[in-house]
Amino acid sequence: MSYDPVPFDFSRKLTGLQRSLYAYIMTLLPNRADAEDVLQETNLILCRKANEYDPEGHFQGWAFQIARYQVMAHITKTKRSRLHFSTEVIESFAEEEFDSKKVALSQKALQICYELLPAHMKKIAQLRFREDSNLKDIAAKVGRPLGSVSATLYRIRINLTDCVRRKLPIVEAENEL
Amino acid sequence: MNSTNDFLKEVDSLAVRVLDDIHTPADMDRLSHLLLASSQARSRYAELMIQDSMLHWETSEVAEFEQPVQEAISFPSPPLVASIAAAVVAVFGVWLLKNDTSKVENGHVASNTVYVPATPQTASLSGGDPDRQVVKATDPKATEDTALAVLEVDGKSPFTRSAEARNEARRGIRILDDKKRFADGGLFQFHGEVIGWNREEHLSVPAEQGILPLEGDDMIKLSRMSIDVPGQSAESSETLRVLDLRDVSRKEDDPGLRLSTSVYFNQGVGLAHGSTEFSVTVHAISSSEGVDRSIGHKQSSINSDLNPATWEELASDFEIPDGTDYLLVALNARKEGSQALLPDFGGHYADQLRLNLILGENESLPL
Repeated sequence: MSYDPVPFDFSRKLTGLQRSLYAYIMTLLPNRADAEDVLQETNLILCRKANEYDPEGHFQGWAFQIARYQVMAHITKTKRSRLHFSTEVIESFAEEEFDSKKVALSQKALQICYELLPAHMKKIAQLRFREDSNLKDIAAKVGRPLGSVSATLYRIRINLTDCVRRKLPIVEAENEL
Repeated sequence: MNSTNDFLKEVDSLAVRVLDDIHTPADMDRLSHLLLASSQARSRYAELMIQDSMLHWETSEVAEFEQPVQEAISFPSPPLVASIAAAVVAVFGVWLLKNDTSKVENGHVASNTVYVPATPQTASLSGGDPDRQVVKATDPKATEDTALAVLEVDGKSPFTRSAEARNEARRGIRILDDKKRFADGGLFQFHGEVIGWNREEHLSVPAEQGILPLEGDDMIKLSRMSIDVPGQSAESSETLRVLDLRDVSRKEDDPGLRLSTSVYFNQGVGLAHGSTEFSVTVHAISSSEGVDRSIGHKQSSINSDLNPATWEELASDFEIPDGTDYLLVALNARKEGSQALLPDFGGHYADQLRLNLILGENESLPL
C-alpha cells in the first residue's frame, strides 16, 4: 500500500479543521476514547483520499461526511448501539454548528471562562478533563461522595456554557479589530 | 418559558450523564427522542459537546493557560490526545517540509517545534553543516525549566524529530547546570564524579499488554508513537538519562572515555504486525554560553522479533569526544511501511538499561 504525498493546501485545511472535526465526532459519539479513535481513523482516511478532494469543493462537508461514516462504522463494530445514537439522530445534526471559526472563537472564550472557575471546581475539572479520571476516581481523590462530584461537574459545564455565551460577543469584537 | 427551560435542563442533564459515562439505555432513548424532536435541543446538546471536546483537546493549554496558544496550529500535549494528534502531526510535518525544506529532513515529524532561520550566530555554531539542526527553545510547550537558549543536535538523530525528547534533554541539562538536587519527573544519581538525571522510574510501568518485565517488577514504557503518514513511519523517543561529566577528571595518558550501553527491548501485540526498530542514541553535548551543542553522537539499532515473551538485547559503545560536558541517552522505537499507520495499541518497552563509563583499561564506573 502506498500513498501520494498530501498536498500542502489539503494539509493546511485538515490541520485547521481538527478541533471542529473532533467536536463533531464527540457530538455523534459522546465518549472520549471512542471519539479519539474515530478522529484518528478519519484523519488517516482523509490523508489517503487527499488526491480525490476537489480544491474547489466544501472541505468541511466532505471531511464531516467521512467522519460520520466512520462513527457509524465504529458503532456497528463496537456493538454498543444501546448506548449510542441511532443513524437518524446522527444525521439530524447540522454541520453549521461546528464551523471552524465559531469553534475557535468559543475556545478563546472558554479559556477566559475556565480561569474564572472557583478553585474547588477547577480542581475537579482538571481531574476530569485533563487527567481523564472517572467520577469514582475523582470522588476518591477529593474525598467527596460520587453524587456530589457528579453534581459539581454538571454545574461546571453549565457555568462554562453560560459564561462562554456572555463572553463570545466580546471575543468576536476583539477578533474583528 | 418555564417549560422551555425545563426541556433544555433535561437535555443538559442527559447530555452531562452521557459525557460522564453514567448514562443508561433509557437515558439514551430519552435524549435521542428530545434531539429528534427539537432543533433547539440539538443546538444545546451540540454546544455542550463542543465545549467538552475543547476541554479535552485544550486542557493542557486551558488548565495552565499562562502560555500563549500558537496562533495557527496548536496541538494537545501527550498523553491527552496523543493518538488524535498523530495523523495531524504528520500533516503538519508535510506543512513544515513544504515551507522550509532546507531545514527539515524529508519524512521527519517535527511537532511543537520552531525551526529558526540560520542567523549569523547559529550559522557559525553549526559550521555550515546542512545536517545540523539548530533548535531554539521556543516550543509552545516549553516551560521555564526547559527554556535553554539553544540545543543544537545532528540532523539524523531522533532528537531532531522528537520535541518531547529534546525538551526533556534540555530540562535535564538545565537542572544539572543549576545544581538542583530535587526536581519533578526524575531522580538524581551520584556515581563518583558523575551526576546523573535519571527518568527511568518516571517512565516505568508494571507488566502490561502481555509483556512481563525482564527482571524485577517494572519496565520502561516508551510514549505512544507519532505517525508520519506521507513518510509511512511512526516513531517514539524518550530521553532516559542526562549525565553531567564536567567534574570527571582525565589523566594525561588517558586513552579517552567511553560509554558502554546495554538495554533490552520488547513490543506488545497490536494491530501492526511488523517488527519495530529499536535504538539507543547517545549524544555528547558541549555547553557554552547558553548553547548546548552536540559534538558527537552514535545511534545503534536492532529489530525486535514479534514474540512478546522474548526480549532483544542491544549493546553499544560510544567514544566520548574531548570537551563533552553532558551525555544524553535516549531510547527510540520506529516502524516503517503501511503497518506504521495503524494505531499504536501494542506498546513498546525497554528494560535493564545498563550504562558503564569506561575510564581506562581496567577502570569503569557503573552509572
